Amino acid sequence: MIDSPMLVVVNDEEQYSVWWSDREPPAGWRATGFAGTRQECLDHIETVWTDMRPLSARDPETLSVRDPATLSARDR
Amino acid sequence: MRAPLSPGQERLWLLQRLNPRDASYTMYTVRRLRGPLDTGTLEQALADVVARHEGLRTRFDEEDGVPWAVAEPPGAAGSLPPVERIEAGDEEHARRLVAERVNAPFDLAEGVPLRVAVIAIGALDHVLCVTMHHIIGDGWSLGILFDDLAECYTARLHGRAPSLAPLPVQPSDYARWQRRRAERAVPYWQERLADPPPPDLPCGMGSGGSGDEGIRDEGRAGFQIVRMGREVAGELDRLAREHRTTLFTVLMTAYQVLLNRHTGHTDVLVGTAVAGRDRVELEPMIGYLSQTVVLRGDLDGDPSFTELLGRIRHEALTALSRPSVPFERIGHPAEALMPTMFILHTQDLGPTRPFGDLSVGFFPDGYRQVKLGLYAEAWFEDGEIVVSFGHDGSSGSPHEAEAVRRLAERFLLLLESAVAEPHRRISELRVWTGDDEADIRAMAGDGADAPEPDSRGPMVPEMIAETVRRTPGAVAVVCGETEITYGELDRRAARLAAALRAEGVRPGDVVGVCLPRSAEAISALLAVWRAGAAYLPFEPDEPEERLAFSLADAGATHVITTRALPAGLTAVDPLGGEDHAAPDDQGEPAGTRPGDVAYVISTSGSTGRPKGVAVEHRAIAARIRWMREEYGLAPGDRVVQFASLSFDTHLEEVFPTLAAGATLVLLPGGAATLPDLLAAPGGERITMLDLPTAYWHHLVEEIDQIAWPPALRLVVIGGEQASGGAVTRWRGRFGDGVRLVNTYGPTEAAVIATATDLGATPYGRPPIGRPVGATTVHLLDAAGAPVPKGVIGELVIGGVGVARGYLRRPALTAAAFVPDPLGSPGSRRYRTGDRARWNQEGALEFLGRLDGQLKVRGFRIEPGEVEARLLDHPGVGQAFVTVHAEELVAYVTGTATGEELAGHLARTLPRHLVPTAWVVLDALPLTSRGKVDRAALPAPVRTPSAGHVPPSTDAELLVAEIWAELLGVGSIGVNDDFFTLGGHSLLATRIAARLRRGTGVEVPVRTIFERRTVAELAVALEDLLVAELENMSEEEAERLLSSAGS
Repeated sequence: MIDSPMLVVVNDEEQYSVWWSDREPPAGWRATGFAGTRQECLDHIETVWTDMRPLSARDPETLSVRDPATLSARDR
Repeated sequence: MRAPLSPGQERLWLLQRLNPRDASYTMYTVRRLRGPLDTGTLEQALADVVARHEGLRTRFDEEDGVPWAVAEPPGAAGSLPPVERIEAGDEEHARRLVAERVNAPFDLAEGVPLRVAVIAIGALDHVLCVTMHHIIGDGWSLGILFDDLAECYTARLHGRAPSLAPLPVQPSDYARWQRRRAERAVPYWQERLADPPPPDLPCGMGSGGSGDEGIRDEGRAGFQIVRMGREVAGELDRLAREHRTTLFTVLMTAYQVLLNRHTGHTDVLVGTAVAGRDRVELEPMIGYLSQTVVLRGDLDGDPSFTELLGRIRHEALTALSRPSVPFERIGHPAEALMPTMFILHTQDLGPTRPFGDLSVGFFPDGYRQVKLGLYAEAWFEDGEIVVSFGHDGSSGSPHEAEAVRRLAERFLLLLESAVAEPHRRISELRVWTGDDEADIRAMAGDGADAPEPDSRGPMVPEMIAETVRRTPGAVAVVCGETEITYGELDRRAARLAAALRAEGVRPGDVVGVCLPRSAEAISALLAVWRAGAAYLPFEPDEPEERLAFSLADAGATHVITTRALPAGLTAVDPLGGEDHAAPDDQGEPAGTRPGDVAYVISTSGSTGRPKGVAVEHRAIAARIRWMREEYGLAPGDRVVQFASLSFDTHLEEVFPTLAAGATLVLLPGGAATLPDLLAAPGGERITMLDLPTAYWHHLVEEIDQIAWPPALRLVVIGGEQASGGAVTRWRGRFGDGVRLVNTYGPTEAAVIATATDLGATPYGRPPIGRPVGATTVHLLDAAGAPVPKGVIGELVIGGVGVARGYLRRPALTAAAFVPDPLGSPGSRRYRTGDRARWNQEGALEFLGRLDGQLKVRGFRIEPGEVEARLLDHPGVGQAFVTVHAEELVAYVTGTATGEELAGHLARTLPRHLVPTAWVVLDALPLTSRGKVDRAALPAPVRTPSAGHVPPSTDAELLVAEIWAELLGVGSIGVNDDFFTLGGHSLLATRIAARLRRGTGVEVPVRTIFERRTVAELAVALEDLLVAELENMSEEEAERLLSSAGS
């Protein structure tokens, strides 16, 4: 593995990962502002990603409106 | 005069003896001579040259297996090579004559290996073709021979003495000198080439040619030639001078980068040839002086091209000045030390001396001999650099030439990129062509999750509910004598779901399932879903500590089990109890949300603790839909449930079957009793098997002893590299009659990610296929960029099947589940840590791990987890865990014995993670780089138990003989235990098959487990024989007895 500088990134489901600092994060991902070596980024994620459920799955009573499949399953 | 051979000559002599028809060591020079050729003078000139050079008068005699070089004195009768004079009808004919000669081998026992042919095309147009075995001359020697010949010819024409440099040294002097030098160089090479990296080559070269599955198609061998224009050639030369090095070093650096970009290796071995004429007195000599030297490139840390150039320059300066030594002296096979070569020819610049009145030109040689799996040679022609990539047909692919052609084009692109931007990191240099980029896009898979355009379809519980509605009376599960209908399965699940709710289980919870193979276990899985929860399955005998750890890790408090549980955990009876059958629970299951977790699988964790992989409903639903469709499952199918529920393969068996309304057949006696099930009444109706590849390999070994069901139509395998030999054997028996599907996939991507039918194509390495529905696969290099066909990268899986992550492991999850720039916005893909490549046919080939993860008999094992547990023990100093002959082996230092440690591990690890072979060492052997030196680890040795009692009865002798062969243990005693000797369930199958072959009696696999010593099994065998005899006519009995005695 090549140890280039990395960023901590997060998607709309509040799932965390790492991305190269010299590349634009892919669509649906944004940088959180934390940067460092890959290991530093992972160590940071270990402390900040406290609820690992995707945002849409956090409240069992609330259906995700972003997920059309959920709606169609319910409509039948 | 008799002289010893140089080390290089000895090696060539041996190679020619091993393969007398190999013409790849035939050296040649072919020149077109236009003008008035005086053939008489030419022959006299040739005699002058032969008289001058001892090597051209040397033959090779053998005495007691030792070769000696024997030179005739100058001018001796018979020392002159025969000169063939041939009239060619036309130029085309001349070409054929030349090609025949340069592609002909030499028999070293037949005399001086030198031949000369003068081919006349016309009166003033001749072709001179000189061939010799490499043992008497190298490429440089050919230039000398032609120059000396030109001078002698010209001198004779003009009636003067030839003007030639003094020749103080002859090959026999050189050979003695070189033998001493090479001996002194042995320690340097042993140290420098210790612990060689795996010999991966681009384009799958060599992969079809390894071991017994090798396919080397010489018809597919050839050369792919590309040209580098004057401008780039000039730039390369300038780059070399700027960095005070040579063009060779620049090209060698680029070649190593090419290999790195194709294999991912940063430790790269490339051979090259050096002239070996660094002393002035060696310059005018004809002989085999060139040396094959291996350069070891360190490409670690993604250096810039110029930085790497500095490293290679240093390596070349150090290595090229040393005499090479035969690979045999270094202690590793030649393929490992020198998988490939790069050679820059600088000596072949054409004639420099006048050849009488003749004008000398080149003539096509038609050379076809490929010396190595893959190698590149470069030379100058008219200011351009010509690069020729030789390939030997060993990829096993009919598209090999095209693949190597592309490799050659990539090399040009890489060189252009390196001269344009030499300060770029090697991972950033351009190497993929436009065609490559197009392939990358085309091969990745679609990743779409849409069998129908407007709906993603139902989740798995709804698929099964649909079956229950449609065919409530059909048989869903068979377990021994018990048959459960879909209606009954549904009622049981409803009742248990109500019990779970009553015990406090809420939607979104995780519920443990720890049950033996039974209908209750199947209904338990459905019940957990019906309660809106996710299931976490365990082995029925899961060690309590690990069970508790995994449950706590998943935040689970409830377990469906009949076991007693540690305090704080709630056991729920699998039958649920009558009182929970409330009417509202009999109805439709609550709508399952696609984003809910469906199951959690506990997998081996490298840090010493298992990790729970959480997979959502939408992921497994997409897989089950694909499997049901692709495997063609329908009512009437009978599918064996082979996998343990603690592994995710069970999902591939259970749910497509139930979704299709087919019947699931359980193995209550354990997976290893599959052959018993197939041989029992009802076994003949089985239509589909899903087996670990390692287990399938063992069944194929005993293919004629297995009662394959006549109804069998599909076998799915997966989990390890399938053997080409086993596929061939399978197809020899079944042809197209039983479909064989190879699958690949990690738990983190919902059971499987790729699949392919293993059909009639002969395979060196059976592929793992293409992405299944709703899945993408990209192969990424170390910089995260996708790679094209033929290139090894990390296999990365995208699409709907990607798991949610590892429960309560944020950093691990973030590292393995990464943004997918090619998927839908915000989506993630899973980095498997598996190495793979797209073969030329567009299918994936699996090539092992990037890290140390092991597969033992299909079980995925992080050796780090086992090592961490071992180091917990006070009697262990160091620990190293690896695999040897399908067994998990632990190497430990310290005071503890293997037996103690096995007991220690069994308290915390599931059985497949407990090593079955133990080696106690004083210290772990280390390489100079500080890693465990695997090559220096002793193979585990099995010792039969103390108090050895040799087998005596016929049955004992037969059992002991079969054990000895399959377990690889000598002198087995009657009280030795099958499992203590390293036996395992896969081997039990084969023991049963062998006993059947030896006696004609059906021996259930179960018996091998129950009767664990030779004596016990022998008694069981005798009982079975007696029972068989009682059911037979006298004639049949006679036949059986006589066959058993043979």
